[in-house]
Amino acid sequence: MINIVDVTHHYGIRPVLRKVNLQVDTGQLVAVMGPNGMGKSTLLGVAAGVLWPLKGYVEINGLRRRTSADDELAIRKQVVYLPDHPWLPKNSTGREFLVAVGRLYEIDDDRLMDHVDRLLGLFDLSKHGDSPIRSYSSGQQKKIAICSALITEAPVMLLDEPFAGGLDPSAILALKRVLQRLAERSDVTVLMATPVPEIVEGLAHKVVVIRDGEVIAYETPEGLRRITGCSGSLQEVLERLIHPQTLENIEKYFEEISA
Amino acid sequence: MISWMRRVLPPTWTIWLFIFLYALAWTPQLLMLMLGLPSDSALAKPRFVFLLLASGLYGIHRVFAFHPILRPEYYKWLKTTPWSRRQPLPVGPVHLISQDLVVILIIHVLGMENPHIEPAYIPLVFMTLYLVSLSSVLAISKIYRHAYGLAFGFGLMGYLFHNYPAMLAVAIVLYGIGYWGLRCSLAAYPWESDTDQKGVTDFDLFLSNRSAEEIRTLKDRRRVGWPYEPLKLHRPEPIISLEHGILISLLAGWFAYVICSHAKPMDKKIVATSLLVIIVYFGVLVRILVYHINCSWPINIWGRLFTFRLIIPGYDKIFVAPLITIIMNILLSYILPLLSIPIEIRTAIILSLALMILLNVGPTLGSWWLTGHHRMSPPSQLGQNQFLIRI
Repeated sequence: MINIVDVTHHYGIRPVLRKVNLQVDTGQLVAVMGPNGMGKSTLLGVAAGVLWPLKGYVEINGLRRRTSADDELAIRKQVVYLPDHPWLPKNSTGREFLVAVGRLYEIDDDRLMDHVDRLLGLFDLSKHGDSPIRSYSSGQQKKIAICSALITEAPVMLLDEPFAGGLDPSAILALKRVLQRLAERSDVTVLMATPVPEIVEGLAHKVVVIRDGEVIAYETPEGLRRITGCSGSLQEVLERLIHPQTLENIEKYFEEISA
Repeated sequence: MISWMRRVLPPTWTIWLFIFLYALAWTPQLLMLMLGLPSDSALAKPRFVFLLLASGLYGIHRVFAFHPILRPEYYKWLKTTPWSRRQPLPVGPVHLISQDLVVILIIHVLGMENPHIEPAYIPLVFMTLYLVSLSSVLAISKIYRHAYGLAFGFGLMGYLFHNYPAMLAVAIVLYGIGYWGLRCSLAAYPWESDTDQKGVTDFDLFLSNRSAEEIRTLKDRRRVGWPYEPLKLHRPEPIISLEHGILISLLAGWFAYVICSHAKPMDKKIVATSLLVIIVYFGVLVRILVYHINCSWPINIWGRLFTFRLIIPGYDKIFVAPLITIIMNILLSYILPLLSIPIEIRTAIILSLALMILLNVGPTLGSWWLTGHHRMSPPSQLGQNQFLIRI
């Protein structure tokens, strides 16, 4: 379970997150949505422990982040964080990188080698698995980064825009299916940031909507439709939640033109 | 005789190079003799410096060419043999033997040509560099007590500088400590790294007889990039333990005392101040930088000022030790002279205390990386992107 309590964070003067409270139960897949620059990546960074919130705290499976070395180590072994722009070792081959990450998470060697092969096959990287990462295209680099998160078999996954970064349609499909399978499991918790509503539909148990650093809604997709009174696609629902003024302005604009 | 000497001698080409260069150093003097010009004693000095250099290099050679821990190929081969510490080392002994005496006597005799130059320097330089090399081997093979014993002894040799009999006597005592340490070092064979039980360690790579380029590539391939590297999943080992922190601080103080005691009375204050300013403030800077490897402030200075978060305890705690060091340095620099403590002792006390604080006062790096209230920085901010690629 991920428990984010009263988190406020600044990098400078402007607060990026304001009193964010969020509880993601074990076995849930929750999507964090909102326009660019509204605090999605910061929220994931705080949950992942790469950022220290100036107020509030984060608990993972009942352990509070960065309070004691033992608890923090225990948390880190249960959590994998895939940032929107990871840095990969450019001289390692894809396979070497995945094995190194898997060993970091103490995955049994036999299972690890087997999992590496299956992941490379899933993301159409089998031919490139033994080439240095620097020779990969940007889409292939994104794929290997996603594989590195999956190889850890961590029960808590924090994925920042995993569908961005030049993934081809087959990789998007593969990742979506993998996440669907993970969402069906009762022992895996996923918190995922994405600005694309189409991907979230049918995938996430719940959606967090962030605007100006505040959580303006945290509901199931159906719950969001109920709140907004919109029965359309999730994109329309989000437009109503995030940009109500813009929608009114558009309506007003066309009314004036037709008048 | 030659085969008896070969047990310790460096490769033949180095001996020929020595003979050639030494003969070359005689050329100006011989030319003057041939031209009937009066001999100039100043011409003997470069020859003597050359002999000093040769004796020092021979001292280094006696350790570095014979201890298996410093020769990966030799060590790898030794591991395939049934060698044990009770047997002599196959390539030759690291401890001094009678052949060494012959070598040093020859160089010593060559150095006696000019009565104005003190030839005792030659065995002293040999012994000093032999013992310095030996202490580094002892430190590598984790025989720390003897290594520190030697290091403190070097300070004593420095303190007794110009008193050649006393220096030689200290060198002989230090040799006893070094010899004892050497036996402990060989008893610890095979030397394995315990820094990382998982996978290939840096020590394994060092012992794998690969080129520096290959080792760099292999080390590079063990990297996992951002965010896996800063999000350490294992408790980091302390870089310097409390025991080492205290001993290094005392050693630095002792060396500062020796350096100051050799300065001319007029220069003592300048030497002492320079030592303190350079070492203490450089130490403060290094400590702050080390705590910022992969970590940076959680909020910038403007954010702090405008949100009235002037102190963030979980982050600012890393500045406590540097601040105490600077305050202590300034206060003691004023207080100790009032107690009429000689400047050498003052410098030693302040320097030792400063380093003790910088090396030992928390938070430890392990606790800082795991529980500090910092922001983990991507590698782009640290110039590490030569190994990593951002996607």
